[in-house]
Amino acid sequence: MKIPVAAAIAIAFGLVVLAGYFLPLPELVSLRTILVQWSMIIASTALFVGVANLLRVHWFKLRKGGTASAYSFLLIASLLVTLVVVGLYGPTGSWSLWIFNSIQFPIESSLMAILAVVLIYSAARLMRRRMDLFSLLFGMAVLLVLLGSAPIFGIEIPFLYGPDGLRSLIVQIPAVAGARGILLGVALGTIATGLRILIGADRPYGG
Amino acid sequence: MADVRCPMCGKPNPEELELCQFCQARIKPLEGRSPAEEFNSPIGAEPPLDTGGEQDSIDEWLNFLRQSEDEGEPRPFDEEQLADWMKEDLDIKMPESQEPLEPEGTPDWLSSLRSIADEDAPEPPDVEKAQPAVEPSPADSSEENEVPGWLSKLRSRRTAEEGEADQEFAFQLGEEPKISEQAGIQEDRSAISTESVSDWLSELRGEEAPVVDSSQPPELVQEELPAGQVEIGEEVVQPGVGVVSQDEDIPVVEADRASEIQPQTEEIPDWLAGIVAGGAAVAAAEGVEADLDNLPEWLADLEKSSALDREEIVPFGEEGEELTFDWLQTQVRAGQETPYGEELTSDTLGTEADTRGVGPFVGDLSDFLEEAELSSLEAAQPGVEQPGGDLSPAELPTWLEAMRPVDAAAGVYAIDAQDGQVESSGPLAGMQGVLPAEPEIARLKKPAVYALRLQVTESQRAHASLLDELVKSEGEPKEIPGRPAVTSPYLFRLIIFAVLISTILWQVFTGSQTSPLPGLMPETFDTSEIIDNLPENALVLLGVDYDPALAGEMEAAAASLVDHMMLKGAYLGLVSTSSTGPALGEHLIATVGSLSGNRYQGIEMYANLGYLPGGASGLQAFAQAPRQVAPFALDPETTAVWSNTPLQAAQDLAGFDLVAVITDDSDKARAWIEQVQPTLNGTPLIMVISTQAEPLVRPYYQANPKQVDGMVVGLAGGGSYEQSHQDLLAGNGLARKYWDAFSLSVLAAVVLIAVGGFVNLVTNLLNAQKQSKADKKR
Repeated sequence: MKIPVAAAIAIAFGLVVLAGYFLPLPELVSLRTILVQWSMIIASTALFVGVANLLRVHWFKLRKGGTASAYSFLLIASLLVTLVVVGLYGPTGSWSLWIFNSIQFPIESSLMAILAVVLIYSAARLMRRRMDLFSLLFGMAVLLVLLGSAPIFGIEIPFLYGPDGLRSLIVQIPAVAGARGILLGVALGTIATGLRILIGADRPYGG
Repeated sequence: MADVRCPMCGKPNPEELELCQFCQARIKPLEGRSPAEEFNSPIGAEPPLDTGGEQDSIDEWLNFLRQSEDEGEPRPFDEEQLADWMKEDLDIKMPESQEPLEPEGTPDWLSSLRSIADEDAPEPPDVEKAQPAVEPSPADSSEENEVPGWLSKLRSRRTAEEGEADQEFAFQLGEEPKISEQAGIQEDRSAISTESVSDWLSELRGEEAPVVDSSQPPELVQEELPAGQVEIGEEVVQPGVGVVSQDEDIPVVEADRASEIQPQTEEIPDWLAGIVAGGAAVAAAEGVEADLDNLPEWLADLEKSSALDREEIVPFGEEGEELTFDWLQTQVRAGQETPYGEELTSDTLGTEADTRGVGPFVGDLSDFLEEAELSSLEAAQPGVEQPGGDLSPAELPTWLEAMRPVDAAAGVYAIDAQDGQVESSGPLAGMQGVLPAEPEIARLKKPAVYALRLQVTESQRAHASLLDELVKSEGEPKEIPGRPAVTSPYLFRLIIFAVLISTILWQVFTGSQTSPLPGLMPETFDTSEIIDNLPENALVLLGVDYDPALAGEMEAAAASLVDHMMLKGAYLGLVSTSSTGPALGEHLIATVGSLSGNRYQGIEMYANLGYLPGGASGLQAFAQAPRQVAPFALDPETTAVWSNTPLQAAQDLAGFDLVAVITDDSDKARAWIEQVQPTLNGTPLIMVISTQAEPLVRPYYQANPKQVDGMVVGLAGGGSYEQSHQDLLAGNGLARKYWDAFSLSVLAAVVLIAVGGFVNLVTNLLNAQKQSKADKKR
């Protein structure tokens, strides 16, 4: 019979951490703190493993050749250059921040700007793709929230803009109600997932 | 001399031997032997298969027999292999020509027969011309060792009947081989009948021949025979039974068979003519006139004796047990019980063959010959012999030739053609004529002819053609309709881009700040109150957990707040659960410093504690032990912030005066609230969040007690905070800069969505109407 060693370790550690919350014993608290710190170390190691795997995959793509190999070359070169620069000057060094502020920051902001165009286009096409009551409700809610987000040419629409406007009503009542439901569901799901892991029903760690 | 290795025991034998001298196994195959070798073969051995059943081989065989008769050569008999009764038979033939082989083994009844023959016959019969055609089966030979019942009964019978009955009985025995010959191979009937008659029968012939009245022409006798049957004396030849009494059911002989016999009777010898005449006399009893005076003398005697004994022995094969042979009676009964044409097992076939006198041939012939023979036995043609000397070249009767399964014979011949091969390996090594492994393959058959044209109905043909067209159409290249370079979606996207970029460019080039900033919001007011209440040199933990993509919104919302804290003299400790958080924190501090005109030095004004890996676990660990999780700052000196900076006053997160989190992700906000807030022990937690995270964070703010003490939501929240603290950022806050462009862009977005949605809605309705009209038309 195969002994589920991994499951036994996971269950034991989970019970120890859980007990540290309910039993304020100094030993349990210190043990819980050590275990949680280990989790951070493991996560950091996983990050390094991910970077190494990314480098390996694109290295093979580069050796394989083709049109996509140029992108792989660009990725590997950027990785190595950033690694060297950050390694030499530190994460908050001037050159390191230059790379971030001049490359990564504009690129990601531009992508978000493109998202604005796409969202407007999709909202307009919604009436063509799917014309029903819920599409109409969705479109009307979007228009009302947008119109209530800012005054139009300095003109504040009375029933839309402001703390007592329709926009605040929509955001704080229906949206928050839905968000609360989502949060409750997330909480219940988290508890269920934790219990399943503790009893060994779920083994995301494998084994 | 070359030795031949025995295929069974593997020992060498001289080449001339047919049987192994060690194991008695046959070395030379039986097939392909000459008729002379056939005679030398042991009695009871398998006769050769008719290798092809061709007329030529038969002719050769018959010619050989004729030559043997003509030349008067003694048959190369292997007397040692003969059965005892055959040897005794030879004794009868050999008294004058040869020395008796085993005189002491001669049965009494044969001795009596011999004495009768010696007394009656003026001249000894020409025994050299007689050829034994009947070879008793091994079963019969084995019965010879024991005293058969029929022999003992015969002895007693002979004693009782005082000789005459013996003569008649001898006549019966003498006729039996002839009957067997009639049932035997038909094309060789005349020759075999001549050669297969036993010697003692030849003697009888020799004595009978002079008795036959030669004045009676055979033709006349034959003409007087009834068309349907041929009788010999009072016994009737019945196939499979032998000689039966007249009281038994008389077999019917076809008229055409009788007509076939007629030309042969013209050549029959005198003695046989007498027998035929006797048969005619018997036939007279059935209504055919017969001249008894013309009967030969010996036949008349037989007639008399048979008449005397009829009541006792005539029912041959039925109740005459004491007068007939047991084995013969058994076979007769078996023959009566098992009619021809029914299934004949090998045993019954063999015994019947023995009874008929053709036993050694029947079981060993090929199938078609066997069937032909059985068919001929069914016909039961009485035997008519021809003298060997006057035999014309034998020819297959037309009826027998017609009965030959030519195809089957051809197939067998095709297989047997390979019999000349000698097995070279295996347990059958050295044997010849082994059945080939592929008899079915070698069988010559015409291949079945099937129609090449598929028979289908019209509907099936139509479906097939339709399917064929479909398949062909799939293979044909289709022209892809060209797409217009400018489509409505593409044009619409261009319009959206142009409108949005125009609003931004308008703001950049005009610098308009006409749109009023939003008023003070409750959550913003709570946040401002918390910061305003910070003590001097307060320790503020600032969580920078947003992505660079949303940095524009987050920095505009948080810049005034950070500037507010910095102006309060707070010492900031930056930490992030995002890998880009430390750089974003540096960017935020630099942006605030550039906007406010203040210079915020690195480790002196704030400490960048770096990245907390592990997400919620990292936050949990940091909340429990911040000194252990993030002991150093990310400045070039890697300062131990917990001992060399104002952060040394904070042992844990509760030691901070304020925890502010800047995030665009609701999950990260929730992680901060759930993992860190419980460890703060009254330290206020405020959040600067994106507009998209507001719905999920607001419940924590609206909770009671509040888990989030204050919020600044998006660009509107930042504008509201700037509006409430207009001195911050030197009145040059980002929210203020962005607000006009934002309001205009929102209006443009609303218009685009509304117009585009309306156009698409109308288009969809029109298309639906067209579709419905088209459906109605259909």
